[in-house]
Amino acid sequence: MRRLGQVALIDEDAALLDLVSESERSAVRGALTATAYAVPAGPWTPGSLAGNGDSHLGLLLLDGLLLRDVSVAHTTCGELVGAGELLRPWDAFGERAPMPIEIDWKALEPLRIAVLDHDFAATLARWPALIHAFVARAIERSHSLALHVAIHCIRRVDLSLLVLFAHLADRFGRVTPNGIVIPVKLTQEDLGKLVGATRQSVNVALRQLLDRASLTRRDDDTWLLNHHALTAIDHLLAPRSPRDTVV
Amino acid sequence: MAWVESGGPVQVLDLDPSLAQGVPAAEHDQARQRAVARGLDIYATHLRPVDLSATRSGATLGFLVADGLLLRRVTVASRTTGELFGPGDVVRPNDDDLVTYAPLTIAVDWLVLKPARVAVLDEGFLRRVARWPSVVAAVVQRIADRGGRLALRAAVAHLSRADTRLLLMFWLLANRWGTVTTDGVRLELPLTHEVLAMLVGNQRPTITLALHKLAEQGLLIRHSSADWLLTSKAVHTLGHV
Repeated sequence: MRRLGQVALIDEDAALLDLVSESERSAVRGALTATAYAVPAGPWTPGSLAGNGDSHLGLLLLDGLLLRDVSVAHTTCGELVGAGELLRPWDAFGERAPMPIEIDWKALEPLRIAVLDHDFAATLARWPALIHAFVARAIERSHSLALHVAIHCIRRVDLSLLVLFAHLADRFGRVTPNGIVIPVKLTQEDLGKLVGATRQSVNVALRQLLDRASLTRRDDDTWLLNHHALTAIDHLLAPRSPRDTVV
Repeated sequence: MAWVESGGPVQVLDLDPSLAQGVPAAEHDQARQRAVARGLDIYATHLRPVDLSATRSGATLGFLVADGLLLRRVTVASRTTGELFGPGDVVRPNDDDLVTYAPLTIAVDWLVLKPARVAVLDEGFLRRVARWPSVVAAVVQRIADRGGRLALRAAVAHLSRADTRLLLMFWLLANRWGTVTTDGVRLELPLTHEVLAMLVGNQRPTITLALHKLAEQGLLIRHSSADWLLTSKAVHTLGHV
């Protein structure tokens, strides 16, 4: 991990810039700065960026893609964290649990991260609209995770993969004439963690989706979700037996 | 009668002292007096985000749950999962109006399992506590904690045995709202088999069987419809799952 120096948050994050009026931009640009770090692709231990005070807001992912794995009772669940999302990796969730809970982080791409420390939080208090934006991001991450829980409860792996890719298309996708390009490189092992299936099951299900031309793996290992898959998705997801319904 | 009514002002740091953890001791009284928010009482059984829209004022941090129990349901591919919110949680049901999952058809709704009281952390509240950024950081932490629990929930949904799923789910709930007794951790939560099915991702009949099994093994005892005991033996058992 390498320290990059101070960055002006509103220059890094266009959505934040939109919340600041023209007349205030210069003041916000000068005041609202944070220290940025570069993290290479691969396993990551965020410990050294841990906040040392209760006012530490968290880490803002400026660029890149991160996979967070939670393992409990021999099962692992993955969460994708993308640019613009807020993390608090030092919060000791599950530390007092009677069963071991392991949390691992892996940068799928090189990352840039801004540390929103005490000084940042104190400055931010001058612009409630920006506080609102950061809270909204934390809420959005929870909503995305709640959808992941639902994806993990779908029995058929091909359908859970299809819903996952539709969700990733919504978060990260770029619309093209052939479908939505999802510029995310995910191995079958990563996909297994994201839908809660073994690599073998993911293999079989991916082949089904590729055969149906619902999904295409591009030459650069990113994905294309085809338009016909999107239009047919509701039909595919309709329950076929009472067992498909939880309650 | 309106389903959502104004319940008068709430002293947020009295209601939830851990939000004041980062406030210097010398400023604690001042922060306590300044951190006042509007209270809302929610009686509806089915909470529509629009019921809270009238309370959306400027940069709202969210609604801090003081009392009661809410369930957020997410339905995708005809499978419904649930997420519980109770005292100490920060929720923003009105954000669900703004979320789109296109092209997926996903239904999100809220049920009130137990009448709730919430504090409205709105722009006025933000201005009053601006001197103490740790209070805002604590609110963000609450939301991040929610993310941590959800990720664990997704892992729980893959355990093959429903009884193990339930034990882990009850541990998560006990950790938040349980009262430690000599026999284990007591939980006063109105959880039906239907709600439990949504929480762990099983069908209702499977939950009924698993609850019988846990009771027979002396791990999870239901004393009444809203009174549960996760026994000390269960906590020990969880160390070996």
